Amino acid sequence: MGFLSVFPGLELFAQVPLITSVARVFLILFGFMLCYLGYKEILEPLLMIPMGTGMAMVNAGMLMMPDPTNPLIIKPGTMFLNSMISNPNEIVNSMQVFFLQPIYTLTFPNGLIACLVFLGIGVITELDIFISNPRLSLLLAICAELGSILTFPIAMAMGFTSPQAASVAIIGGADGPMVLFASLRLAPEIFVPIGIVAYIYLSVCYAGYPYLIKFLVPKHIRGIAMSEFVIKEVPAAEKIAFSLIGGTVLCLLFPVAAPLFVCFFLGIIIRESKVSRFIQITEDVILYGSTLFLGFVLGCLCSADVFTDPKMFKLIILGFIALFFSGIGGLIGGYIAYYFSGKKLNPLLGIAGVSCVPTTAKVCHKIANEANPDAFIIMHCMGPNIAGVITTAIITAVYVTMIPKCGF
Amino acid sequence: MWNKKKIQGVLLAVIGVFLARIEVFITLEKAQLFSINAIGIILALTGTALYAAGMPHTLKRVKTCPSCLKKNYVEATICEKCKKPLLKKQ
Repeated sequence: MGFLSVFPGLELFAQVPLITSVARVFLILFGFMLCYLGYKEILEPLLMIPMGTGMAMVNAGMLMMPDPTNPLIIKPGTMFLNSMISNPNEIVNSMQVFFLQPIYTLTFPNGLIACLVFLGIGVITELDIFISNPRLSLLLAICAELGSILTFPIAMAMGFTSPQAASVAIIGGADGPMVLFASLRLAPEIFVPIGIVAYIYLSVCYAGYPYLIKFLVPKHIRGIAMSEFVIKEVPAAEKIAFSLIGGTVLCLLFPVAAPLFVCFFLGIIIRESKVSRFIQITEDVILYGSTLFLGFVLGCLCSADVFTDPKMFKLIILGFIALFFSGIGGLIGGYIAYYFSGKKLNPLLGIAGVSCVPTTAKVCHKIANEANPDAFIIMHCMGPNIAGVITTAIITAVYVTMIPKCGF
Repeated sequence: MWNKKKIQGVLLAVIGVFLARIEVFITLEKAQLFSINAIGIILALTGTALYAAGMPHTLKRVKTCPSCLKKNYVEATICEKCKKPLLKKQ
């Protein structure tokens, strides 16, 4: 014990319950694994590298320290951040102690980080591709929301309240900012575990959906080379007008989700107005900067006590159910389109409807291209992919607006 | 420029928004309110889609760069982004 006291992180293993120590070791190793899988590009590197690093380090860097609310109480903690405080005095004190506290306090509880990511998504969104075949894109995107819809009653049956169930169900939309926004608005008490589960699963989409596709779609159908993509080019002024009108209508319909819509449509307007400096700062700095801090802060929030929370196990199951059903729904939509098109359309387009821009579109293209080197379906996939963002935003807005209003 | 589809779309969206926010004007039971709100949301979204359908456009054939997956016009021989050669037929 005398030797261990030289290293407070090690000494703590002996001072906390065994389950917490085991969870710490597991999370350190899990963090290493996420980081490695991100580096190897088996999982999404943009998220997994900061998240895995944060997860490993936060669990290694625990020590006994005074409680921010009562300095006389000494308990395990870290110098990273404290997500459990809400009193303004404690928040101000914590900002001077914990190095990530300012970023967490000023960008997470108010949903700013989700909105900044959405602003970046708006800038990389090509409306022309969506407009080229809106009916097919929307059909596939709606089918790919099966998980967001089915998980809601399943989560309620598993003992979650309706706002909590809706927050978990949004994982099926595979859109990280939406999950954060919905959980912060509807169920802030479980925002941390939902955020962690959602982002780990979103990355798993990258690795898991290829197996689902290969299991359910025969090789000759996966390799369908679709006809040349014809894009409908709309003048920039028209797209700006559409963004203003569409954004205004959505904000009028769903005022609670207005911050998300305003950021998304502002991104589109910036792109179409061709102000190169705004485009550069939004795409290179805001989008990737927010993604870096989002992954890192979520990793740092994944401490042993969060992981040993009994709700975590249920959330892991529900997250899997949500994304599994969304994938199945997408493939059902893809097969419907395949038969209605006279077997000319590649059903993998359905999986691209699970938003996760542009990951799922790239996954579908890669698998089609593996099955048939002449199949270049990335442009065809981007339409349902963008439609997926829009439908997930609308489902999030419906949940966030209707659940408190109608009191389910 | 305004055309028939755009005007119909905007009108439909206005009616939809009115129905979706009807509780501002009249008091209703929760079940009724939910149904009317849902109809309003569907109408407003359909109106927005109708507006989008009315936007003028020109059709252009595109192909994808096999290396960086960037969209290029069909006449291009090298990728606009990575400058690598594009396949003649996709």
